[in-house]
Amino acid sequence: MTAQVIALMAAIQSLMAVAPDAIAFSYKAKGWIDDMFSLGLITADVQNELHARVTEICRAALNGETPKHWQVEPDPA
Amino acid sequence: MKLKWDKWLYGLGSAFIGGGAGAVVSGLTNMGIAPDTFNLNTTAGATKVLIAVAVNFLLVGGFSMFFFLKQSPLPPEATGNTETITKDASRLSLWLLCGFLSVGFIGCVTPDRLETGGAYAASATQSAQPELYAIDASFDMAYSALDATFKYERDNRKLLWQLSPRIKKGLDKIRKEAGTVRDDYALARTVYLENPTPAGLDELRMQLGKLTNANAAALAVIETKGLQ
Repeated sequence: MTAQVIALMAAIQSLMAVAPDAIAFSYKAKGWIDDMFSLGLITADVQNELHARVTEICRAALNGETPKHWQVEPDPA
Repeated sequence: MKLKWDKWLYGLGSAFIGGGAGAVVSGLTNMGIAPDTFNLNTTAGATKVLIAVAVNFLLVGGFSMFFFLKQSPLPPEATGNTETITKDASRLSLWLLCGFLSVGFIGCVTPDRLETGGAYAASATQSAQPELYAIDASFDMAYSALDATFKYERDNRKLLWQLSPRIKKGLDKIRKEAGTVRDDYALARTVYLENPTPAGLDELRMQLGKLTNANAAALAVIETKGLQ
């Protein structure tokens, strides 16, 4: 029982830790849906930010830079 | 032939409600993005919040429902594996993102929507690139989702390994594939920017499709604890 409670708390803690990423992602998703489904103007700032983000991803890829969490690492002991 | 209507209808309903409920959060975020329009301080603002939530619910719930119908057009026969339908229903949210991202293939962005001065707008040196904008935006979304999944697993590896070693093993397979797709997209984009051709766009769409599939597969690994 104690082990289960500790596991549950650890799971909650991990979810709390990922919450900021999830919130940031939800904002990005909202912006993407607005761009795709509304008829409004896509501002120069929005275009330039997207262009810079994708260009940076591509630059890193072409230079062989891979984030650690994208790499295959040894299994935990 | 006897069909399992009850399970099928249950799955269909679950798909609609589950998909729609997820979208409610998206509707509420309007208050953070445009507080002047969407707020709870005025009747007009609160009405707009509720409309946004309702529209998001119907739209995403509808998408979710149609994806369910695509996967399970008719109820299964009364004999056989009873787990299939419930797994289909619970997996719909994963394919939902996949479906939304495929909008990048259609291209809902028109040249007149791109404000002058932006990287994708028409200028003295280039014509407007609405297709590239739609593909880049979808790539950015799929990449961010995949990145968040990989990061989540790495940050919580010890805990998830105890839960099921299959999670890391499943994601490791996708890591290899996704890394290659990212590199191929980068190369295809560089080629396209130097020489914008319809064939170049097709290549970008193909790589986007692969990344979208990798993203759906990664989410499925998390959801099923690597059992699929």
